[in-house]
Amino acid sequence: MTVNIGQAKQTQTPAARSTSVFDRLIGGEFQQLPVFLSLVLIWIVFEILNNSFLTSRNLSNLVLQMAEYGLLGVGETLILLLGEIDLSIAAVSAIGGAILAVLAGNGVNPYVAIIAGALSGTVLGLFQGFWVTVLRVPSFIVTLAGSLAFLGLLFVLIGQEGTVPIMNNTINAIAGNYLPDWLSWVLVAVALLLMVWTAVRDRAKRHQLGLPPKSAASTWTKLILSAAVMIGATVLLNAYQGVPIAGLVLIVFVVLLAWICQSTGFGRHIYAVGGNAEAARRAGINVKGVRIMVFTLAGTMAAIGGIVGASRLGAASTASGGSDLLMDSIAAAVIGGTSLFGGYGSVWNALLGALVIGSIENGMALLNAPTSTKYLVEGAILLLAVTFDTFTRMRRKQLGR
Amino acid sequence: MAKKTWKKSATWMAAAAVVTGIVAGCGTSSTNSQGSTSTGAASAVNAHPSVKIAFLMPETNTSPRWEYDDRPDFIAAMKKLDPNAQVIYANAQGSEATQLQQVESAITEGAKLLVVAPVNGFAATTIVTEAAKAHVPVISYDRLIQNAKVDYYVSFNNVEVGKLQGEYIAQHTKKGGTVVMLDGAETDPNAKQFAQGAHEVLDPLFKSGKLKLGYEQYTPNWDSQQALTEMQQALTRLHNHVNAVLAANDNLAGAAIQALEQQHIKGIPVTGQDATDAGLHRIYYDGTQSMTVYKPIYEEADAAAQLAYDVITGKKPPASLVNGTVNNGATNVPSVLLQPIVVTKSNIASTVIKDGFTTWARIKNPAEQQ
Amino acid sequence: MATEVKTQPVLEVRNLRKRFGAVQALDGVSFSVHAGEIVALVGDNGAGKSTTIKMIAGVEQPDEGDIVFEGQAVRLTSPAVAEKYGIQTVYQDLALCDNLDIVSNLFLGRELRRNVIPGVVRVIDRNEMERRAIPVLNELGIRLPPLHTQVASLSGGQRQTVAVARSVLWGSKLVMLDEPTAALGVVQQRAVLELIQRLAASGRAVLVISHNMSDVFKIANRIVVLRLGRTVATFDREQVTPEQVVAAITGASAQEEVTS
Repeated sequence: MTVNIGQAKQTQTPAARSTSVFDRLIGGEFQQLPVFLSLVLIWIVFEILNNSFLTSRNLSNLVLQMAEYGLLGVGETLILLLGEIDLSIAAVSAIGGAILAVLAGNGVNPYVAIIAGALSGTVLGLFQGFWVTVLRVPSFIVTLAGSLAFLGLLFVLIGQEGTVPIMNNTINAIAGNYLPDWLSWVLVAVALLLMVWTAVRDRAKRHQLGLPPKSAASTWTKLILSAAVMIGATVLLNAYQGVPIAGLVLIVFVVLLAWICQSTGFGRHIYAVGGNAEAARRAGINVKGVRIMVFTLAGTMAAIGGIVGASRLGAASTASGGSDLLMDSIAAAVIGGTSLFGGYGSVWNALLGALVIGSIENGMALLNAPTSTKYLVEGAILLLAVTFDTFTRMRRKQLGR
Repeated sequence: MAKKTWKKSATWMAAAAVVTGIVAGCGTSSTNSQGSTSTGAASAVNAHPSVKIAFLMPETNTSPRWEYDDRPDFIAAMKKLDPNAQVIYANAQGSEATQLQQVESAITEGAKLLVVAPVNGFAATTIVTEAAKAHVPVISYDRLIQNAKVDYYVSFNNVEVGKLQGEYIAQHTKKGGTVVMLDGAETDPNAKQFAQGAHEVLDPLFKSGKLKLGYEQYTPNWDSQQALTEMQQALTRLHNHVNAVLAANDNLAGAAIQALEQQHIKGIPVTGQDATDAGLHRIYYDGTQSMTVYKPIYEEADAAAQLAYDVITGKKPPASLVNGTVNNGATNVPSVLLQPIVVTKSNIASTVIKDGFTTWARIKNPAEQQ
Repeated sequence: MATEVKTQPVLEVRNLRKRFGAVQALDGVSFSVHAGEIVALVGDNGAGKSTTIKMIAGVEQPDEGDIVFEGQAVRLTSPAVAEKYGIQTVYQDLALCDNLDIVSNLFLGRELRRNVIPGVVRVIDRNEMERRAIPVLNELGIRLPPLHTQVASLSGGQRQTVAVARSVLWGSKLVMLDEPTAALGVVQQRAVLELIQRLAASGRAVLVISHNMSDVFKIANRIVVLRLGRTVATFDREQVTPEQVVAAITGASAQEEVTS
């Protein structure tokens, strides 16, 4: 990094490229790489221990198993970006699933039931966001209280039986059905074309405006990697029964939220508020509005996750909101590299984190490992992830000064 | 333990505790018998004009049964035995301290016998010592008070539940078939007893090779999502060669069936427990679940009432009632161990329906709110 | 004794007073800043420098006294109002988002957007933001790493530069800088001072708070000394020695109430 500011010319500093590969990995565009490599390592280990692991059938199962906490983890990522925490997402997801199941069970149109379920999360998230932002009660407390109260609400919704089965085919199809092969390929093709078109147009635009071009290598590497992952995953999943609809739901929301975070003013403001709320306030950003909106979004995502979960189980139960769901979701966000201190991380990382958590749970269950082992391994990986986060934070600071 | 899934959420149910606290939280409430005229049939008990029994329940948070089943059933049974009997009812709302307080005030009010379902079986010895000081006998109800000189214990036989499930699997699985066992929450002592009973039946068959144990896993918190993942992984691991599933309760059974259906595996025995509406629906309408174990609560309440009446009137309870002993670490507690009932498609009408435990309408559509 | 400037001052404050509970924070602060001029506001801790700046920035409101901006008495009821008049403040803590890149910080809260689906979907137009930033940076001779570099990885001087550049980008007429060279290395200090001089040379009025006497003497046209919430001296840099200024700051000198 150069320190010369006094030169009367705005130029690119080639010195910026002299930082080590590692620093570039943690600093910039390839921050997902460490998680990605850990994921590969985890897959290799499980495949060695049981050769059913890397079969298309098992990976299809994995997608279904991780869809719910993937969706929750995505919502939690937004909250973590603000430097807040939401402990109620599991309870909210249970409410979403329960409303869906109860409405569908009483003969309500399945699509109406799905929308009502999702909106229940919107309302609960809005409520909590209001409480955190306007009444200034710490999010930890608000959402802890929320998770208690929502579980109470869950018991009321579900009633004495403890379980409300879902017998509606439309709803059960979310986690039970698969995309036809041709459709999955059409979607992949559209996505890839869109990515290439965006990249090419951006380069043209920069050229036209006389701006320095972005690194071509990094742009094309990203494109090629994305294409490889998308095509690879589609081939594998189609070799079994196809891309699960639940997996598509997960990907659509990841893409949507990643786009919101990276490309919209609102997304920029989430990062700004998480990075330096005071600076954001002074810059005229509606900090309260951003906070409330993020809690609302996270609540909605939680309820959508709950809908997918209920569809997968074919039932909503009083047990839905508890257990490991909350921890798995937060772990997905954190393992993905989203900082607990706010400002750093991305929605894509949450997807990777969910894949890591999902792979461990899937693999451990495949090995018929005792619960104790599973918890020990998950705990260790979570600790390593957070340690890595702390370490990279320090390193970023050092680079700066 | 009627609904295992309620259990894990006990701590979360702050809201419900507040609500029900208004009803029962302020201590004990007496249910007095009305009228004091004695009929001829009741003249025998006139020698004990003030038969007072305390019926002390643990909580309302995780299962509504204590409030809505045990309480009315016990009081009705007691009245039948002695119309003048007074039942002091109290619910501890999940607090060990509250329960101890309720025990003390029940004794102060003149209770001659305590029927107690402890909040925590391992932290209830003081209840027994307090009662012993006042020479008040204690019947441990549904949950056994550990490490104390309890006079009697009334409960369904948890080991027997597991045995019934194991026997069903043993009888209905093809020779050499592979069994998957989903045992429930490792932290729940009842789950361990279910598994113990099942293993007592199945282990000899596993040893002789008549059956194979393909996969066995505890499910933290009885979480169905977790159970679904476990079942999917069991099927992957065993390449779908699964011929029976011993699921400890109906919720686990539901999850297992979901995974089986994904692999289009049908017609294999799947056990359950609790006779939930969803489970009964799968048994009667879908045919995907084979059986469930039903534990009629009124039998438990009746037995406790009969036992209490016998003890208080100085009769020795018949051996037909007190049919066993259970060691609780301090003594062999004479026990009434009730037989759970296997419910299959053929006897739904004569069991759960006849008892009013559920209705056909609810079995047909378990999602419909009552 | 200061050079007589014919033009109307960009900013003039008259007899500002402010009381916080029992503390009289300001007890008569008066000075002016002209276009193209660098005025240094100096004084001991607690002399009222920060409170003065906050009032001009619209963060605090005076109990008494006037703030006259371009000849008009103004009421700066909030930072937004102050910004509307063209008053930009570079705070000591810089108010940058470390986790965002340079462009995003330059345009923080004022992102340029373009329509994807008109009226429905609008996205941030990064390229346009970069295009607009470059002439401003060039005008001030600012040299920075690529604009997509995260601010966290910038040096202290570069961060200061970003903060200053942001104030300029938004059409400021008066830029206030709070301790701009604190915590910087020697080379970076020099660069920042040069930047401040170019800021003034571009026709903006500049008000600098500083503890560093050598900085003050390098760049300021005039030096306003505050003590105990009061303007005690206004010096023309050409006609004063650091010793005299220090004496005014500490109150050791009798040479008070020098008028400009």
